[in-house]
Amino acid sequence: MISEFDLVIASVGGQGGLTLSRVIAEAALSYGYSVRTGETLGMSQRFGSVLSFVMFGKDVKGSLIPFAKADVLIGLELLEALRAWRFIGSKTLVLVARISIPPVFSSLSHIPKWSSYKYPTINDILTNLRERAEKVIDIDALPILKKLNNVRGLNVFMLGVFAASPRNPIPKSLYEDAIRRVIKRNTELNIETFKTGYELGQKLKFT
Amino acid sequence: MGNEAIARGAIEAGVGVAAGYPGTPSSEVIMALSRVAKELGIYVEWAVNEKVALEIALGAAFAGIRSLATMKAPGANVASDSFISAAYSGVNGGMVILIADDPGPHTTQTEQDSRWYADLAKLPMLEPSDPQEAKDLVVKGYTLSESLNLPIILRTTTRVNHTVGDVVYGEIERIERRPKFVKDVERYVRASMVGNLMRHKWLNTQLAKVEEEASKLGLNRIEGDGNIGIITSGVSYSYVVESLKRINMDHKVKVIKLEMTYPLPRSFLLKNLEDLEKVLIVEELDPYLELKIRALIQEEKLGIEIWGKKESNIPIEGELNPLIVMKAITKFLGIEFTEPEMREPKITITPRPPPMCAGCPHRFSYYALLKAIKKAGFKLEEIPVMGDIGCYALSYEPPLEAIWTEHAMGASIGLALGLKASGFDKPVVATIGDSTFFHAGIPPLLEAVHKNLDVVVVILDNEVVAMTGHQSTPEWSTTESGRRTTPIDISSLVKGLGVKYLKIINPYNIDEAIKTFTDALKMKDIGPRVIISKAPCALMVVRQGRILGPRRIIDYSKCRNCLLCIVETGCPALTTEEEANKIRPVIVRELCVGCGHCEYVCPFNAIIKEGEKK
Repeated sequence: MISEFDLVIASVGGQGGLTLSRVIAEAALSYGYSVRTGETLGMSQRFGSVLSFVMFGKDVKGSLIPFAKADVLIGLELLEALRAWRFIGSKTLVLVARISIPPVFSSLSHIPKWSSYKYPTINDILTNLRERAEKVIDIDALPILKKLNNVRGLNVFMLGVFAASPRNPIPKSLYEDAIRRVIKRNTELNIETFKTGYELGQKLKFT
Repeated sequence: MGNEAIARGAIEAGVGVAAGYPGTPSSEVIMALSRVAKELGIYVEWAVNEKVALEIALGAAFAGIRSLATMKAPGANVASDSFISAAYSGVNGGMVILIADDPGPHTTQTEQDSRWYADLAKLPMLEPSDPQEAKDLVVKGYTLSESLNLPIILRTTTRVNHTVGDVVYGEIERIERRPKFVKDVERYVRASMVGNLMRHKWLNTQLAKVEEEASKLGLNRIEGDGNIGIITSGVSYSYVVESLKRINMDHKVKVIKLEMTYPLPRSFLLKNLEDLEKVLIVEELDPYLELKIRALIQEEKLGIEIWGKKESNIPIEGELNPLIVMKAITKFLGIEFTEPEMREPKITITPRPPPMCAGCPHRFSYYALLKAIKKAGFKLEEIPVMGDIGCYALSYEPPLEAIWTEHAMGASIGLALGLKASGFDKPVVATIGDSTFFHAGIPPLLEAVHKNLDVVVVILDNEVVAMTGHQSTPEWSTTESGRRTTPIDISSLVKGLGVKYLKIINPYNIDEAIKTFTDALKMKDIGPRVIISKAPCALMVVRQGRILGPRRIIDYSKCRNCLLCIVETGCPALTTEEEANKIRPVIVRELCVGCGHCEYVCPFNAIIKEGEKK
């Protein structure tokens, strides 16, 4: 049993980042870890930045992950992954979906008054992530999710990828049980999506 | 979640009445209790505001029933009139007042440190560090409250309310009490000044007993040992413990963990301070404990070196985090600490504040209002649009950039009155949501009617408390706990206040809305003009599995890439893409809810309904 594992999830409100943190927390708890999760949000609107923290281990006391200390960052959106840069250190594995959702501000950036709000290029985002993390893996998830007819399943898909990484400290089956407990809609499709992510993860090089 | 743990604690303690007003980060307590209210046979409801919530809980506690009142920090300001008097009357049934502060701040207008309320009201205060303690302190809070006959303040911060963690349940106490209220004029009537002086003396006598009662409950504790100490409370404690663990000092430093922070547990502190050479105080926001501990150490001539905010560089604003606390502790202990290298990204990270949702009726209301200001012959920069607390305050963001102020619940109307009272010669508009109007907008509107002050008041009625997660308002006929109610009709209420000019509009009918606003802006000398802009929260509609109308698509054969659909609305369902070296708008199908705003603003009829012929 590891003493502490710190995981950060960066997403846009409505993408399922909070649900993902619940699933991981449930799985960690069922494995016997003590668990803490926290997040920065509070409003019911969608489309804002959401940062969730999941900490688990033998006896976890903290409410926030220290800067540069995340073991893993799961990014459901590119810009949001970079927004979480403070938590990325030289030991952090970054798993990020190759998906960009420009904020409203970026859509306005074609007007001179708001030109400073441009959405950065995907390459710039990945370069900046790579400069900080031990390893960055970007995953072109959308085509796979579309094929599965489960675009909303990005969260469990990315969880599947993470579950296949050597860093994952929780048995895969416990994630599946947790998905069944937490996600009540389209449960079996989400399990399939999780498994597809896992299969993809098995082919990836995580180091 | 910390808030669910607080709810659980109240259930374990046999709470009979719980009332609150929605406010992040406190809302989930009442939400959790509502789900089991019927089953447990307890009264759980949102009140019209925090003061009323507090009075409902207090009345129940007068009658011997255990009660809970919940609020965020600004709500405590609203309720303070009542809970300060409550300290003089005291309670019979246990009463816990949850005040949830928001260092950061994440979702609150100020970073007010509500711990000072304990001193102001002279009410004992408990501060949990995590969900488990939150539950446990609620249960102990009720025991303490009944042993002292005083309401107890449970002061939390966002990181406690919203942290999710494992919580071990306790037994649920079944309390069978019948409400009983015995007339006692000296105790409950604050009209007698002699009585008030007596009750103040009584209160001070009770406060003198708090520490002894608290120690019976095992509040406040010591971890580790040594002649160097750290005093801390609340969420700061978790950062202290984590930091000490990381530098392998967790047994070599004496951590004095205060769960009761008012009144200061003097004997407990004196006993544990006596062997110390120096002590560090780790706390978020104000140097609340620090000032008192400095006074105590000086008064008792303990000669201990004190490290407070200044010595440790712990800021008095913003939320603490592990790094700040680690730096303070290593500096205090004289241990070398290398800060992690924090290189800012070389590119600008575009801000992503939550915008108004796709199809939000408030977007239409503000859009029409801004158009009307121009149509009535004014410039946008000369007509103040006062905002209020709620989703619609997001209209300050580009592209609408509508509101000029967002101050406090109901303040849009009061501030507008002040401008007119000072002789401001142009129209002034106050915009206020339905729940905010019920909460604190009625008195200033009454004031406007009575003093004939010429303001335009727009009540943005989306029939729900949207921003905090869709709680009920007095307009509902059934509340979350299943209670059948008498719905309050805002227009009758406004008429009843004596408003002479009242119009009700549907904001999705943009032309009608612009005309109504324009007319109201042009009128003079008839006192307040009230326009109720009524349409349900679009997110509520979507969550019920419906959309507002047919989804819109872009006919690119007509689109000239002017991007007005984005610039005029700021709708999050619209984005841009590059096509043949040109930037063109795109409607994201799964985000579009068919409100038609983009179709309305498109000058080239390039936006059409899905399924319509191009």
